[in-house]
Amino acid sequence: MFLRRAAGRPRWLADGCFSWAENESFSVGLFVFRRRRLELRLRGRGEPKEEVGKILKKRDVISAVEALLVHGSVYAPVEKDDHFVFEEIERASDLRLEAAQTVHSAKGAFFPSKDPLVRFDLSSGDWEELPPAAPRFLFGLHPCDTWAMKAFDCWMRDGIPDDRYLRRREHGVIIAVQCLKKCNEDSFCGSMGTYRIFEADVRLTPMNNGYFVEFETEKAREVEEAWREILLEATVEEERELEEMKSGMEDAFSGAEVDLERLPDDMKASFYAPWWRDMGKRCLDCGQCVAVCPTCTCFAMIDECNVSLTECERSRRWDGCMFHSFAEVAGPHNFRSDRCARIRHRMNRKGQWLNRRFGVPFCVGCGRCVTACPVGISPLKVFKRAQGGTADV
Amino acid sequence: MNIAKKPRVGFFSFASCEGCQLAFLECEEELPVLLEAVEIVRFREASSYEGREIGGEEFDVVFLEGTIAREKDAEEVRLLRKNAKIVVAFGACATTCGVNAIRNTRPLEIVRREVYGEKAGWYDVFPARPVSAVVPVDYTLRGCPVDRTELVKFLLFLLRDLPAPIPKYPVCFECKAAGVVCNYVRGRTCLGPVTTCGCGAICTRFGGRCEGCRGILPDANLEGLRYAYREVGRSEEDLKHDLQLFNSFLSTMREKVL
Amino acid sequence: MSESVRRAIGESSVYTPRKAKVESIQPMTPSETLLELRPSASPLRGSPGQFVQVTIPGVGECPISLCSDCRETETFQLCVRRVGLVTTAIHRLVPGSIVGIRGPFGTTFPLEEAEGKDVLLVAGGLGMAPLRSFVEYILKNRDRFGEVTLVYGTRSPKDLLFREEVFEWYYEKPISVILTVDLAPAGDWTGEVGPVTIPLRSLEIVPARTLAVMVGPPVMFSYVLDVLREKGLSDDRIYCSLERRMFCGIGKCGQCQIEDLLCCKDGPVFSLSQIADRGEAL
Ligand SMILES: Cc1cc2nc3c(=O)[nH]c(=O)nc-3n(C[C@H](O)[C@H](O)[C@H](O)COP(=O)(O)OP(=O)(O)OC[C@H]3O[C@@H](n4cnc5c(N)ncnc54)[C@H](O)[C@@H]3O)c2cc1C
Ligand code: SF4
Ligand code: SF4
Ligand code: SF4
Ligand code: SF4
Ligand code: SF4
Ligand code: FES
Repeated sequence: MFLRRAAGRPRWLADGCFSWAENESFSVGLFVFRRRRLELRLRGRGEPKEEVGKILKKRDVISAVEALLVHGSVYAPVEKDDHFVFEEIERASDLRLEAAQTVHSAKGAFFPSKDPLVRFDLSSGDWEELPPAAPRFLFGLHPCDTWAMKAFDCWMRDGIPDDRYLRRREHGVIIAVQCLKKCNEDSFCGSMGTYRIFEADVRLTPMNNGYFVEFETEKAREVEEAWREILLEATVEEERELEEMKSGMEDAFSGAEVDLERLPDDMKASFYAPWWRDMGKRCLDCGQCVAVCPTCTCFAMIDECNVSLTECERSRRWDGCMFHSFAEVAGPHNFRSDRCARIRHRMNRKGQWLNRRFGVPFCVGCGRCVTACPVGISPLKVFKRAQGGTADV
Repeated sequence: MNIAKKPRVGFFSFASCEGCQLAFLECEEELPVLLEAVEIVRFREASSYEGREIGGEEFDVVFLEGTIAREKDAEEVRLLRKNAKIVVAFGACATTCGVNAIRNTRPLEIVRREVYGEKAGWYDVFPARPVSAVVPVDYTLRGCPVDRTELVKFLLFLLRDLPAPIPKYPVCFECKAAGVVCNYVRGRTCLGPVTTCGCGAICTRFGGRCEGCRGILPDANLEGLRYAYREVGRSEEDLKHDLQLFNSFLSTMREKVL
Repeated sequence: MSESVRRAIGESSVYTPRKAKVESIQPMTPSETLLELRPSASPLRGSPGQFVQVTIPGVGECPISLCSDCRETETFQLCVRRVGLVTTAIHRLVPGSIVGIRGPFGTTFPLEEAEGKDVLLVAGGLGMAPLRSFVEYILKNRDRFGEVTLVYGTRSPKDLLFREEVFEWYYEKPISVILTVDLAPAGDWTGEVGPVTIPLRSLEIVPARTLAVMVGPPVMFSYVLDVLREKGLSDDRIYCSLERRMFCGIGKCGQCQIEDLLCCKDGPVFSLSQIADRGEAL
């Protein structure tokens, strides 16, 4: 377990969210550790013994995926047009576990870009709910993605919960891979404090020759079963290697450029700053940033009929605040008709409002929107500017 | 709008390749149902009828395909507007002036002589323009050619006499939903960010770039697009060239021509 | 599905509408119609200020405010203006048609806060629809409120909604009613002419015991607000109901954001002190 050096206990807020802003050193590892001990006890294995670590050798990764595919669908990074994206994989060999950042996030697993909700039978006047299908195993999530999933959970659980999302989420098993260094130029997880896995059912830590495997939750048992024949016991050298990897990782992510505690206030103070205009001039309203962002939750609903008008399907599909018509009502009146107001809105969702409200970061620094934006708009640049930096945004 | 139970529909075509009418005929699965529901009064692409004199005939809906390139066409369009309850501009030529607007980039006299040679004087062409520049249109169906799925969906609204929703999003909206790795991420340019959606991002989904055939959005940020081109190492000229294909009317010429 | 999730979400999805039958539908003006719906399973039990999502199968869904006080009634009423796709389809309903409903959603008018106080209601155009449910509530519990004044402005006399009721209040005076129109044709209009701010300005109120609620088009708010503030009403005594694009109604789709607030969940009824420093709100 890493992060045992973390100070203080994590605080869980009334709504079940981890208080992040107030703990500058994240006690997540500690938290997971405690919970695991608890679970081990619940499983009736008595007091936890020093368990022998498990290793997934590189050469066994494909058979590990094959073993999962027997139990259910697998959603994982695959290669597409010389880049990586999350998709449901067909063959185990499609998996790219070593992928650097995927251009699209994994949110589509639990929040598909188009999600059919209800089917209306127009001849009988009846309608029925359509079951939410979802992948079973999310394999290869990076630490930032696990934090993003937490943020997504907070939003979807708040108030009246979104059952479509939660049912998928409950069903899914998260197998996350710890990053040992920043995965590309655009990502800034080190600055957002999201470079350690937050929560996962199974966590993998890369080693020279494979992955160190830890099973964390009840849901992980299915994976544990599936991999029983595949995993090897860690040798003493491998345990030592793991420790080295972990301490190396802390160094690789040091040098945070954002003061997270002050971020909400700083964003608030710069709400009317003139530099928002610089981005307003460039932004194309293309909405790619919201589509690739793992914490962007917005959607619209659409009803589509078949050609004989006997059936109609209502689905929800991704939408986002960067589109011009997002805040338009009948009239027509647009509450955010200005580009600069739209960018400011999105950045404040990420850096002020939601992180303040839920106590977890809503920009996890994955850098996907930075990669996707054709005109180089970046939350990191914005956060730094809001905190007194002078570089162009 | 109170259109009839079985609406009378006419398809009329002006300067165009008539590919959009073909697109309608290609809705093979849906055609039987649709033909049941409407009475198609005029449809040149699907009939042997050659004449095109347009009289006082009344229509519920007319689909106007093609660019308006001469006064005679403009008059016909005005007459059709008068005789039809709903006017639909159909396809890129009719909605954005499409490729036909490239003609406007050079002096008309020269173009006319190049095309018609000696007989240039016989043709009374004027600068090409979309249907909407001649008469008010109720709906625009974009694309070169129009998108079949969108066309069918549109007809389903029309048949129920309901106002069809107007696409207001950029192509990127549909492109990202389809999980395409963006052209810009791959170091290429693309007009998707400024182009009206509705085609389901068919070009980018199959590995191409969006050429903007559905026309740039009314509030498109061309200044920003210039920046985006620069970011992937392309020049202002490249952008001009790309916009010229389908959008020269909307991006540069509207004021000059009208 | 785990027990906790099942408990949290109940049996059917929050996105699946319930059925309701059209009891009656009556045109009120050329563009507004009054719809009475009876939910098929259990009554709606919504409070004044809340809204429902109405589904027309095969067409779509849109948010409509409750315009009757249906806390204890079997049916509820909606007043719908025809503006686009779904509202056009609503206008074509006939008694017996089946529609879908989700809700009630959102916050209520300050029913309790207003008790023992004078209430000033300002309605512009369609804003009368939601406010009418508040008036119904007040009339049912008339002794709990002090002076109640309704200032109601429309474009012209023919655009008056709930005409008979409004005239009844006007003449019988259970509450005082001031009517104003932008354009009065020559003839028998005896009310005011001009924007609601004119009669509002000449109204005498005691700020210390008054609570104001305004509902109307976005342009109306800032003008009315200026007058109310001039009269000495503090922001926590002023309420308004805001409109945004809405799809989910439960704070998920993000369409209705007003900076960090969600109009469907934190609103649609807001106290001004909640939104005064949010530039995007009004
Ligand atoms: C809290 C609240 C209370 C309100 N109360 C009232 C009230 O009491 N009375 C009243 O009259 N109005 C009320 N309104 C306003 C009312 O909700 C709007 O007038 C209404 O939503 C307009 O819907 P429309 O479909 O008629 O309009 P449109 O703008 O034409 O259509 C929007 C609809 O079209 C659908 N759509 C969009 N794109 C497509 C596509 N490509 N294919 C198919 N469908 C598509 C969407 O699902 C959407 O529902 C209220 C609004 C709010 C927010
Ligand atoms: S952003 Fe950081 S945590 Fe996320 S994938 Fe990249 S290196 Fe890993
Ligand atoms: S805002 Fe950008 S960097 Fe932050 S989480 Fe979203 S996509 Fe990643
Ligand atoms: S990706 Fe960039 S250009 Fe496109 S909407 Fe987002 S910020 Fe604007
Ligand atoms: S490929 Fe083109 S259409 Fe697709 S997201 Fe990129 S810019 Fe937009
Ligand atoms: S992607 Fe662009 S060029 Fe291709 S059909 Fe759509 S609008 Fe036209
Ligand atoms: S209507 Fe969906 S968040 Fe408010």
